[in-house]
Amino acid sequence: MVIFPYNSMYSSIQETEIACYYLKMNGQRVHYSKFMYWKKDFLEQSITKYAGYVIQNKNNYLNYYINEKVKNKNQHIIIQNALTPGKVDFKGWAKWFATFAGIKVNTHDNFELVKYNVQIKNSKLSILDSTILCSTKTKNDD
Amino acid sequence: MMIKFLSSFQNDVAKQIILLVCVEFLIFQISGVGYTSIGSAPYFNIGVDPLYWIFYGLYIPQTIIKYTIIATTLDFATGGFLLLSLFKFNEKFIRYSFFLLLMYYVTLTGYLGHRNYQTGFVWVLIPLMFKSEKNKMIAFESLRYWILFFYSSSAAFKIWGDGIFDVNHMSSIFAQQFSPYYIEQNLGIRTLINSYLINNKFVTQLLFWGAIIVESSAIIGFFTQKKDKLIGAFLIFFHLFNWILMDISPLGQMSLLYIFFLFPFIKKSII
Repeated sequence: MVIFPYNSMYSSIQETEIACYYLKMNGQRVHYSKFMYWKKDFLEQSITKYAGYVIQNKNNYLNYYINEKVKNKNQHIIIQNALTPGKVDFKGWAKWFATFAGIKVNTHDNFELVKYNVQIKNSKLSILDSTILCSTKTKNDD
Repeated sequence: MMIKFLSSFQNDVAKQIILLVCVEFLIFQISGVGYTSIGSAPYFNIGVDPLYWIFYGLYIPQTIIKYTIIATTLDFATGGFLLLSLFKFNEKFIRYSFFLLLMYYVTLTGYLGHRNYQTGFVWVLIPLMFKSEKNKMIAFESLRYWILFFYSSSAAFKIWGDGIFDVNHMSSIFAQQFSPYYIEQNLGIRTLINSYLINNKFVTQLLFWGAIIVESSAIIGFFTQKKDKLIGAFLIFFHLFNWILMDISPLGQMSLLYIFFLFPFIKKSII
């Protein structure tokens, strides 16, 4: 609920590795930490949430919630259409993201959505591994 | 004329609050997250929250984001009604501003994909919507109790959560919060503090407990109004520290917390 402050700060985080998501445009990471707070937060959170949606085969939490709670087929379609974004194609999303981050996008630009597993130790960050979640080079985006 | 206008703020609680909301709204716009700036974002993510369901169920945010003309009109309308309320106070303008800001918050956080609970700039307008002094007073008192509940329940969650005695808990959160800065090599004083905290888990745990104590101070407000300024100062201090250490901006909550400094004036029915 918007009036009730519950977030992940209350439950213990056991992972020693941290996941960070970046969009790569023509092989270059689209950076966002240089922006003022709200824009930086918008870029960081939206890519994290979009990556989660891609990992879940283009479903977000509300898709599962509606599937569980709404059994009537017609109601299900109406509610699902309104409250979830549907199947958002990667190229369209990537173009929006890059443009929002202030980068000029051309038709033939290539995009990749990359997950980085990082570790911060002794003031130094090390990227343990990275995974391409989505790419416009390969046809894995439906 | 300008001096006369500025001096009118000194005894006008409503004007002081609206001015702060105007500043917060302006910062949203300058940051580049106004409706127009968001552009035609294709993905949104809302949680299990009926307030969001009403707006998204009626396709309001989706329509605003889709059409630039509507987005720009609403950016100007929101700012315009706030400015109108500032120069010529009218409950009607406040009601419009409240609805527009609520719609903005729901749209912004829906497309951002994460609710950060910095809703103060919306709720703070509620008491100003009422015409009669008595209703205004009741609304201010209710809002004050809600703020106290908001922060004290947040402290309670932290106490009852499983992270309170976990030495890795806060240092993991600190590492997560600043990881983009390290990846992008955007280093400075805050990353220096951050790396110190990541490597000094006992200090981070003390900070976590300190935050719980500061948030818990809101409980005092349920029993007396005499310590309101102290509670307000504590909570503002909490948000400023969150900004520096956690990279969570206080913008959105400042105008709301300011009301803790206004109650002596509110009680004199200056508004």
